[in-house]
Order: sequence, then structure tokens, then C-alpha cells
Amino acid sequence: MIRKELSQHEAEELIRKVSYPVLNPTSQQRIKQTLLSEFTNVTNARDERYTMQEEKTFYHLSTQPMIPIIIAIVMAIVGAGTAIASNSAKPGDALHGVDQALEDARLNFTLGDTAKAEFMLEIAQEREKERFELESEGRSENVSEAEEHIDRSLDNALETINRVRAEQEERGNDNAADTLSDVQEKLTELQRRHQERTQGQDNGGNNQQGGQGNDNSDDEGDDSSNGNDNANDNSNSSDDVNDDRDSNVNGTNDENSNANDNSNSSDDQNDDSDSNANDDVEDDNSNINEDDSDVNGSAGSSLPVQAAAPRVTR
Amino acid sequence: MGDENSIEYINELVRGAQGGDENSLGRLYELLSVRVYRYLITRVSHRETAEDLMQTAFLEMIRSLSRYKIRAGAKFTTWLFQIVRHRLIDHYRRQKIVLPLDETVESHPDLQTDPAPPDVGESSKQVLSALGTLPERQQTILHLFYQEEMSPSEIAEVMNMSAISVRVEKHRAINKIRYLFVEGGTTI
Repeated sequence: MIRKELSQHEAEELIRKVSYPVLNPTSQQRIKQTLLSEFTNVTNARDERYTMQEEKTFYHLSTQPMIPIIIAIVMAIVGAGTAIASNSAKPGDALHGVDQALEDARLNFTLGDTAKAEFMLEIAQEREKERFELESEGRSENVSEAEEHIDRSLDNALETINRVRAEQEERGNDNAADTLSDVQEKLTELQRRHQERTQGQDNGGNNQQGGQGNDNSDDEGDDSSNGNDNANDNSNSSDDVNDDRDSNVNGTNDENSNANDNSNSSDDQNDDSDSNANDDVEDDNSNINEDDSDVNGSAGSSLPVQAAAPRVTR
Repeated sequence: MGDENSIEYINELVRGAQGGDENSLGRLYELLSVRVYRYLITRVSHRETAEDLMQTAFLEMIRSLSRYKIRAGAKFTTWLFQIVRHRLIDHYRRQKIVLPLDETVESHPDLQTDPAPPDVGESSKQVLSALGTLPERQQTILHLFYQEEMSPSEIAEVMNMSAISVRVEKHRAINKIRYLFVEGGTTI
């Protein structure tokens, strides 16, 4: 008899079709009763546990865990109140720093170049509004601080917008570039108004303290020859003593010194001026301001001269 | 397997039992006890012992049922057979039977009850006798694969081994069965 091993399929079929001993139905029912009894116990115990847990949860919710929640709510209310209150804060107010920090944060979270630019314009306008409010409230000691804020916000805004606008133009994004251009125009207008106002203030100040006018012309350096000429003219016209001091200033510029020489040619006391021509300019300027303040204070003709001197913007 | 043994129906019964429904648990037991007993009787070959092990396994199932999470496509029987197998290993330990993974049942005199119970047909007796000569791990793999229709990955989950190892062990077990029938002179 030839014996042949089973194929894999035959072996698998054998295993699959094997019949197993059957569970005795009586035993099955007996075990079932035991299990159901245990099931009832387990279910009851679980229900009791859940009830206890619920009571425990209610206790916890009603007492201790509520404390951090209450603290969090109070902090949220205080924080929100501070943020709202700081919105109307002006330079010199305690919450002005918070206001600016919130604006910085909002600016950082603003998405898109145009939206950022518009928000920067909004900030600059708010700074200007704050300045007017301070003025109307008579808080002149904080107005200069407000002006610094305006300068800073305008400079930041214009610098950023110039850069971003160039980028958008390079990318060919005309819509964004146009929007940025509009914002830029508004900012430039704002800056122009601010400068005019500042210069107007300076002029007003010159009516009372003429020395400030010379300050401006001196800041311009050697290029502002007209200012210096005029300043010298004024001083010459008012007092011969000051001619000597003015000639010291103009010693840094040949033209100015010549002008002074010419103007002083008709005066009686010009002898000392040349000897001081090479002295330090800054020292001389301080002398001029001190002296001119007295002189120009009595000379109303200096106003147009001071107004003509351009103000350096930061 | 019929609809009563489908994953969906069994999951429905499990959900009911988890909610405290006795009828669902009773029905679940009636369906699964037959299959669990079938597995245990071939491992211990002693009716009372198999029944005791089955009761112990189902009691543990009831106590742990609330922790079982029903997942779509996952078989409840995979989880149940894990419990059953752990109880079987505990039984071996209590009997102080050390059964290395690759050792055959027949090499242990304590396990030499009757691999083929008397209430089955002659051909089934022969097959069960042949299966009884395999290592315990291979017997379990063949049972879960052919009787419980579990995939290698499900068997791997029950037995805490990799699916690849399950496939390799199953292949080896089938080859042994093929040759056992020839060497023993068994005819189909």
C-alpha cells in the first residue's frame, strides 16, 4: 500500500471539520446562574460606586476646586477692565504703558501688510488725538512726551510702509501697493501737519524766548547760511556788543564771516570779533543763545527769520 | 458562522451587558460558552476542569466588562480568549506543570488525559489525537485560526506574539499534521 502525505489543503480541511465535545446543557445553565448572580453583584457595586463618585464630584465642585476658578474669573475681569481702561490712557497716565503694549501686541497679531499699515496709521492718529487732549486739559508738561510719541509712531510707520510697499511693487501686487500708497500719503500729511504745528510752537516760543530761533539755525550747521546771516543781521541791528559774539559763530563759515564783516563795517566796535573767529563753535553758540535771548526778546523782527529756518525732523 | 456570531451582534450584547442588562449577558454567555468550552476541553481534556476554567474566565470577564472598549471591527472574542488563555496558564501553574513554549503536551505525563474525548466521531478523535501531539502554542494557533476564524494579527493579540510568528508557527503545525498522518498510518 502506497502511503501519501496529506496536502496542505487536506490537512486544513481535516482540522476545520473536526467535531468537538459539546458542553453539557445542565452544566451550562448552572454556570449561567452563577454568572448572573455575580453580574448582579458587580452591577450593584458599580452603581453604588458611581453614586458615591457623583456625590464626591458635587462636593469637590461646590468647595475647594471652585477657588482657582473664582481666582481665574476675577483675574480675567480685572485684566479685561485694565485693558479697556488703558485704551483711553494718555502720556503721563499710569496705564499709558499698558495701552502701548496692547497696541504692540495687536500690531504683532495683525496679519497682512496692508492691515498692519492701516493699523499703524490708526496708532499715529491716536497719538495725535492724545496730544490734543493733553493740550486741552492743560497738561503741557506731557505734551512734549506726546509729541515724541507722534514722531516715533510716524517714523516707524513711514519706514515700514516704504519698505513693504517696495516689496509689494516688486511682487507686482498692485492692489496692496495702492492701499499702502494711500496710507503713506495720509501718514505724510499727518507728519506735515505735525511739523507745522511744532514749528508754529517754536515760533510762538520765540516771541517770548528768541534764543530758540537761533538754536534752530545753528542746528542746521554750516549749510543754513541764510539763517545765520539773518540772525547776525538781527543781532547787529539791535546791539553792537552782540556783533562780536555773532562773528565768532560765523567764523566757521567764510561766507558768513564775510557777511558779518560787511554788516559790521558800519559799526563802531568790531575789533574783537576776528580774534575769536577760530574758537570752538559750540561754546560760541551757547554764548550767542544766552545773549541773543535778551536781544531778540526786544526785537520783533526776528519772527520771519526764525520761521524760515527749516526744522530738522527725527 | 451565522449572524448570531457576527461582530456587530456580539458587540450589541456587550454594550447591553455593560449597561447592566442581564438578558444581554445571558445571551452573550450562551453564545460564547460553547466556543470557550470547545477550546478548553481540547487543552485540559477533562470535562469538570474545563467547566471550572470556563466559569472562572467568564467571572473575570463580568468583573472587567466595564473596562472593555468596543471598537469598530474589533472582535470581543479576542479579548475574551486572552482571559481564557490566562486562566489556562494559571491552571497549568497550579498543577505545577512547567510547559516550555516549544514542548509538546504529550511529553508531559500530567497532561496525558485523553486528547480525544469519547463523545466525538472516530475521524475527529484521530485529528484531535494528532493535534494533541503538537506544542501547546501551535495547538492554540490552529484552534483560533480554524475554529474561531481569527486572523493572524488577532491571534497574535491573544497570544502576545507577533503576527509573523503566528504565521510561521501555523505553517509548521500544518506540516506536522500532514506528516503525522502518514507516519502514523492514518488514512482519511
